[in-house]
Amino acid sequence: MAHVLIADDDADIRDLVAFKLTQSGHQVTAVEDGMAALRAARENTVDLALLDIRMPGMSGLDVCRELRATAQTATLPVIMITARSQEADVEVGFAAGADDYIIKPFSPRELSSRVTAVLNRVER
Amino acid sequence: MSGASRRAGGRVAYRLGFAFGLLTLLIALCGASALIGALVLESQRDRIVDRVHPAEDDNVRLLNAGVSAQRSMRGYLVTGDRSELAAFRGAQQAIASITAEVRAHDVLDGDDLATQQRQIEAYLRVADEQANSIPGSARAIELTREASRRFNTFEVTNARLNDQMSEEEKRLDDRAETAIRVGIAGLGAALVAALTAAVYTSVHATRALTGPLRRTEWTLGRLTAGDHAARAEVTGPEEIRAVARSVNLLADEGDRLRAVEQERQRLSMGARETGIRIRDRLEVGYVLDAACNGIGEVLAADYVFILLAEDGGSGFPLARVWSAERGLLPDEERRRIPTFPADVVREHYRRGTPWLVTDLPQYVSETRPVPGAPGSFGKTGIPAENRAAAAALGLDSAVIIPIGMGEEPIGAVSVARTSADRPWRPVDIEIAESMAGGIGRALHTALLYEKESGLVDKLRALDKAKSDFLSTVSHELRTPLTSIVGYIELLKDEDTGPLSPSQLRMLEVVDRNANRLRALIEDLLTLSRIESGAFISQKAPIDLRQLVASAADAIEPAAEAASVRLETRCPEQPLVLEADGEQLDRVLMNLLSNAVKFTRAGGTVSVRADVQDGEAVLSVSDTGIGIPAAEQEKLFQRFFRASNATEQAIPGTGLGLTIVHTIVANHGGRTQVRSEEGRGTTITTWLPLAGTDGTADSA
Repeated sequence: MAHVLIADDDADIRDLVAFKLTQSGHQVTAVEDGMAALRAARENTVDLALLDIRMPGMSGLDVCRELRATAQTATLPVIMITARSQEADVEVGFAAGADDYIIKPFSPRELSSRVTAVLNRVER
Repeated sequence: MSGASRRAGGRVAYRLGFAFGLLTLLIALCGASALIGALVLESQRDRIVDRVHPAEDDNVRLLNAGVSAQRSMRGYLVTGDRSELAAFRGAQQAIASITAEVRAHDVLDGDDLATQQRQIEAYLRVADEQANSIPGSARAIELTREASRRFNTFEVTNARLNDQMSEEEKRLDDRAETAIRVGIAGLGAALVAALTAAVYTSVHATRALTGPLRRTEWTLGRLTAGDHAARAEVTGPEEIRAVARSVNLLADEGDRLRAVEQERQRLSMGARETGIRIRDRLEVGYVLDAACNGIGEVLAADYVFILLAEDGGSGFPLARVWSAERGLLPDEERRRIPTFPADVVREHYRRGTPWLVTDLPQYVSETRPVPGAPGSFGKTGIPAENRAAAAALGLDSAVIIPIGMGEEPIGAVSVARTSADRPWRPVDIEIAESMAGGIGRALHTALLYEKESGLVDKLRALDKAKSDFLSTVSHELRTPLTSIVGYIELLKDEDTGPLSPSQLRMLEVVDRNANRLRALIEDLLTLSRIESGAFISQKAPIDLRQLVASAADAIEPAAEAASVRLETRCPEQPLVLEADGEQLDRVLMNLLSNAVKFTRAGGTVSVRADVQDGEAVLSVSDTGIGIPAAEQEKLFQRFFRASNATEQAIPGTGLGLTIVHTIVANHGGRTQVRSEEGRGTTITTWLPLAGTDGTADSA
């Protein structure tokens, strides 16, 4: 199906997301920081990136901006994962080029369906 | 003084006295001349009556006696009858006595009288010879001729004497008449002179009085009308000059007082401006700077010193030193100037009155007590370092005023001058005292404000730290919570394989509590954001009816699941509020979810929006378990939960109504709870309509 990149510094969440998406039939690459996420997105053919906003070093927002700035990854669908629900953060996420966002704590089922929805939107 | 005024000078009293004296003298002269005239007249008349008339009579009698003697002699000579000679003898005797009487009257000249006497005696001698002659004889005839001739001589003399006496009488009459005439003329002249003197004096005195008096009166009028430069001309009689001088003195005194008053007003104006300036800002440093400049300039001081109690210490160091030449002295220079001993400041503050010290140089050379000075200055004198500083600055006099509030002084203000030529006037001291009072109050306020604002800053920082902490904690809690609820879901969905019923039941418990924890975290985060004010920034006109509709739609599934009927009632016309839609949505969702949660199956939850007295009213009623009356007032407290809810294990965080209450209050509204246990609850909120507070027009 699709190749999904998940970047989160929390291993448990990485595993949770990887488990659910794999079960949903996606191929998952899990990384633990922003730099790795950027590398993985450039090296592999990734169909969608799930980025945690708060990560040590490079934040999810920075990664998103970088992806948008590079021609190769400019159209890569991005879903931001945030622990903040403030409108300001969501706005900053969209401004950075995110396609959707999901707030922690989230339901794995919901995450999976949002990934599917974004992928469908891009395909169409 | 002009020549005219000198001529017009002299005392009116002297002049009037002189005039009346002259008048009296003239009247006395009139009286005297009249009296003298009368006396002269009287003496003339007396002489005529007493002397001249008897003398005339006697002279005539003498002539008659002579004639009688002659006649009797003739009779004898004719008749020869000797009896005829008896008459002659009688006449002869009479003549002798009459002659003496005539002489006694002392009217006629003695020689003439002697001549007459000699002539009559010569006749009588001849007559005697006749008597002895024989009548008709030649001898007798010759004697008769002789006698007749002698008698004629006598008669001529007698007539001449008579004429003389008539003349004398006439002369005396003339003299009396002259006396009368002279007397009348003198009297008239004196009267005219007296009248002239009286008229002249009165006219002159009146003129001398009224002119200067009128001018002085005019000057007084000018003065009272406000022409302060007007002065009376010092002219006219001494008395009027004295009045004019007094008027001028009064005017001068008025000028002096006015000058003092103007000076006071000028100083007061400056003091007021300084007072306004020092209240501009609530910073101690600014107040001190403005106070130094203000009081120094207004009072023309050469130096200004402000002592301010040190923070946390007992001394009163110099907070500012200002010099007329150099303005505020730099800090390091100021620190080298010694301040007053603390006991002096304290004692001075207890007295509460300005202390004026003049002749500072006399205290500079040696330590001796300063009379009337506060504290140790008055007992043991000014310490050497202060004396040296005063000498170095060249201070001559100073006014020192304590400042403070309540029991303790906060310092003192001192204004000093270096020149003995400019002593401190009472008005300076008065203004200095009032300005120092203002400075004291401003400093007190500024000190309090700095203390308070420090406290406020601290509290603000504390509040922010609390919010940050709460926010961070909530965020940090979410990450593990994500794993917990995520994995529970995976387990419950049996993604990892089938579960036994008891495993599923236990997992349900874990899930419920994880969700409870999640709700608690959300509410805590919301509350912390609302309370820190971050939420209020999104105000826009919004129709309450739309909010109600969307909230009802959102809660409908939950209501349906709980078998609770949901009804909404909204007015036809829009209910526009100036509000944060998301926050009001939160209010509605909290109220509705509470209502559904606490209502048993078959119950009803109703939402109403309406307008009442210019306010929007939103009420959510249920037919649920209600709230015990005793607990209703605690309902808006954080984490408070009604006892019947906890007893029945109805989940909740105890923050929902607190959030509602806070949001409504943030929008300028109020919240009310009406409930009856077992019957239901109605929570009503009143919110201001848009446009009523002038922030927006109704959309």
